Amino acid sequence: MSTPLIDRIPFPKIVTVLAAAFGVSLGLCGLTFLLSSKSGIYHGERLFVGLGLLELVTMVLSAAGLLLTVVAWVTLAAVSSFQEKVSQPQKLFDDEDDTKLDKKD
Amino acid sequence: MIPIGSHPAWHPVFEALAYGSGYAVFRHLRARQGDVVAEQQRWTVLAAAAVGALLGSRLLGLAEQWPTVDAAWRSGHLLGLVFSPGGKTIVGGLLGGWLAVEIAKRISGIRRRTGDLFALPLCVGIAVGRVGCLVAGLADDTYGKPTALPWAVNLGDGIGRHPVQVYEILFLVLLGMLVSTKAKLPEGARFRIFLGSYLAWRVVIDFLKPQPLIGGLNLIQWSCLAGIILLILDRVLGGKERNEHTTD
Repeated sequence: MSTPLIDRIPFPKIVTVLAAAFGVSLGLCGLTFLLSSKSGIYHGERLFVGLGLLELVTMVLSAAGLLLTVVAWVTLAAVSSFQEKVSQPQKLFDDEDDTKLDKKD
Repeated sequence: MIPIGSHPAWHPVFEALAYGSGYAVFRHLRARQGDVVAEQQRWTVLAAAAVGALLGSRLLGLAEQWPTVDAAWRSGHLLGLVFSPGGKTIVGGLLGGWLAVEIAKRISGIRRRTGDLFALPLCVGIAVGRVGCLVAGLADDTYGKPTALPWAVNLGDGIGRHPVQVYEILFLVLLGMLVSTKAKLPEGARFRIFLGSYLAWRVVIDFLKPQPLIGGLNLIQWSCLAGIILLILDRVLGGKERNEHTTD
């Protein structure tokens, strides 16, 4: 039997890395925004426009990736849990009944 | 007065260093002491902590600057606010991360206490991050109230202020020593000591910060009190749950 998809994809690692990337890019993006818009020295400087754009792209991609990964993780976990329940063998007698029968003997 | 000035450019640098140093200490501790959960479960806990901390720190940060958020919403510049470098709080990050981990543990059936390995890394990470808050000066909303004490810092406005970030770094050094004691403590105790002490510290130290008050306390202090109550409830209810399992 092949390994379930949820075990093959390292969801926790992906989520952790994306969350960290989003957190850092959020801070950096704010800094670049501040430097390029408020400070007269850096105003309109190409380096900051480029850097800001890179950070913005990182921020947007990591946020979108984070959202998608979390949704995929939760969905696959729910599906996997449902499949596990369905594939479990049905017990004709539960443990309590077995004990009762034993006691009668 | 000690001249420091305001250098907001250093804040994200120290913020990134804080994440890096915290993670390095975590890895070192895990390699040295081992872990109470398997690698896959640890990553689940880490993922929950990262997402919860991100949401918690941003939500409380935005709530803290509510008038700005409200004004940005009314003028249609809410997106611009997202780019602002501030608007993240440590207390929100800790509480959000903690709650998210507890939820993830319940869902994935992890019963062990997993926070002990985070106690010292959090002390280190927050202390490194606070250096960034200090050098960011008036651009960061974490500066202290005016004082005439000889160790007052000048953040560029010519006013001597309490170096509250330095007070916090010193407190974190002591707390770090406390949570890394070699004494045998119950599972989860180191994290609870860290979280409880840090939240209590913030209730006290925030009286030295010029923040808007609601009912005598600022929003961070109210959040800290809520966190302390949650910790006590967790201790009492968690203790009962463990006793029930022992009886079973």
